[in-house]
Amino acid sequence: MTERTRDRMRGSMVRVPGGTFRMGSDNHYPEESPVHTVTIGGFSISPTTVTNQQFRAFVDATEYVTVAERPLDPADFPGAPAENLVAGSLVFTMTSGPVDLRHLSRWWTWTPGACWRHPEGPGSGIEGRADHPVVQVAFEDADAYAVWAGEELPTEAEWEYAARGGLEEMAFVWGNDAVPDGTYLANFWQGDFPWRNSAADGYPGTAPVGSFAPNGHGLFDMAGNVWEWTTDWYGDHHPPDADKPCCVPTNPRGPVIEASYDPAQPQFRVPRRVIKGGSFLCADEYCQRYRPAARRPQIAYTGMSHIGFRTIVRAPTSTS
Amino acid sequence: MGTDRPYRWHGDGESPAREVELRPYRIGRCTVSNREFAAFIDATGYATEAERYGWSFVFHLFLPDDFPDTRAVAATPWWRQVFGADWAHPDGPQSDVEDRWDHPVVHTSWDDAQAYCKWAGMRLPTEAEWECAARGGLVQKRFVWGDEFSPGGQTMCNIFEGRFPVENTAEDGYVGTAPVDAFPANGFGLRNMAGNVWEWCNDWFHPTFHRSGSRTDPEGPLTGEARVMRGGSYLCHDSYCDRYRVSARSSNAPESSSGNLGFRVAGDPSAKLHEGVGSS
Repeated sequence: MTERTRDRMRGSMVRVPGGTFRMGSDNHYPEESPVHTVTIGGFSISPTTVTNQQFRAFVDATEYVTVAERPLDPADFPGAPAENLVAGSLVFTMTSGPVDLRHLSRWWTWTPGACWRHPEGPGSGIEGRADHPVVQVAFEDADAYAVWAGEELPTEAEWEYAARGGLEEMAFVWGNDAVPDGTYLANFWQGDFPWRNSAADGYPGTAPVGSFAPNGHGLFDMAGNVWEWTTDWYGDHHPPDADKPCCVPTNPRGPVIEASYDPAQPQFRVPRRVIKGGSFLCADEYCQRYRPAARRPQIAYTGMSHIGFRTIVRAPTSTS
Repeated sequence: MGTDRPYRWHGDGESPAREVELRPYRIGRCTVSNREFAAFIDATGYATEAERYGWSFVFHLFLPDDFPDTRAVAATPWWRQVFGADWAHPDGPQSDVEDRWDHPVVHTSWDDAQAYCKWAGMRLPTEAEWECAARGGLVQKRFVWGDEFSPGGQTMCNIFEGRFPVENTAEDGYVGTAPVDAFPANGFGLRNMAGNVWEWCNDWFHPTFHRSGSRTDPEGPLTGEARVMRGGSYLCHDSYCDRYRVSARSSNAPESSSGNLGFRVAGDPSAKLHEGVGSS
């Protein structure tokens, strides 16, 4: 199958009928609770995350410059050393041995020159990865793509509803077993994080979009491969479950921006968006987040080598 | 499950109507689409049986006027043996699926369907699971939506209208396949359990085995020559084959394929259920 064919195939949207579902989980990390009922209107959603090829078409058409490609303004970072003010992004690097898993800086490295065209830094490129998810995109980059395409980014609730594929309160988008009958159904980390990656699922890094079986809505990679941006500001828990059917939220959009500031660093008012789905770096013993309820805060203007996005169209196109 | 009503096809084994108990299961909302099947092919490099044999059966109206003569099936001359027809070339080598990514994959044999299911961590439904799901909670109705073919004038499924097999007037909007989520859902939210494409089930086919077989989680005979297919297709026509009725059955050899035969996946739930719950 040619790249052109693949791209067209994967660019078209899949209809997800509206409905009511149980969002979140009470059985995993605390930020995923409480489970609560949410109603979602129907929408169409891209069956895959946006690929390098699709993002390149956007950049070629608009000459858009992503956040990671822009030099930093010294006025925004008073006192910061000049060498830290160059354009760049965060790159995952395997360590040579076991490390303290509390310190993300052991495996995430600020890398000048890292951007969507050079996901692992200046020496890397996306040749041969046209059908891999675009990474190193900040929220505003993803949003700019969506605007150009006449589409939108999903809310967290829309994303999770789509990811569950019609299954109710399952741990994973395919059921409750992480690896049913030994079959890997998503691209996540096997081995010892962050230094030994056995790649038992077939992929040490990102996989081409659609490399694993789709969920019940026909959507690919709703678990693992790359985290995906949503429009919600991050709050460290979900709202309580409605006590009456009349009070079930419809199309919720998350808390206010202030809720997303990191309480551990109150001196920095850094807005953070919700990312969903987990990535090729999710390791069971460290971060089992290749699950639909899983969620993380992500600084809105920071891309990483394991974060991408997909788009939706809310205009109803379904008869249901 | 099944029917004793007079519209049944006697040789097919639609009767007797019987009470069947099923353990909970999951079943796909839609049949597997070309997009989904393409991902499977890309990821695994699998070659379908139609690709390995080099041909499959195509309905004659989909062939160009100047298409060279081919062998046809003696009893059903509208089925033409077309070299180069496969899932990616559903109407023969001159065709593709560029505008049909959301349509059901076809030209997939039972063996191909098994391979897809294994990749997806799923399985094919048993015939009893399929029928229970298709009935959508209704009891002993003729169609998956009720007894009336076109309630309130609404088109409920994709079958053959016009004079079979020479002219399809496509009153339902489609000459061939329709997108997997076209037409109203049944009572369980499932699409196209009637018409569009026939769907493989896991069971071996037998016209009478179920008369004496188990009524609890029946899985069909232990062996046989053909596998069950259910649901009817866009070629079902009242004059010839009204097998888009919910109790209708048919069968095909596990290695054979055609342009009106696809499948949907099923699985065992590890917790709560969404679709296909209950017994029929």
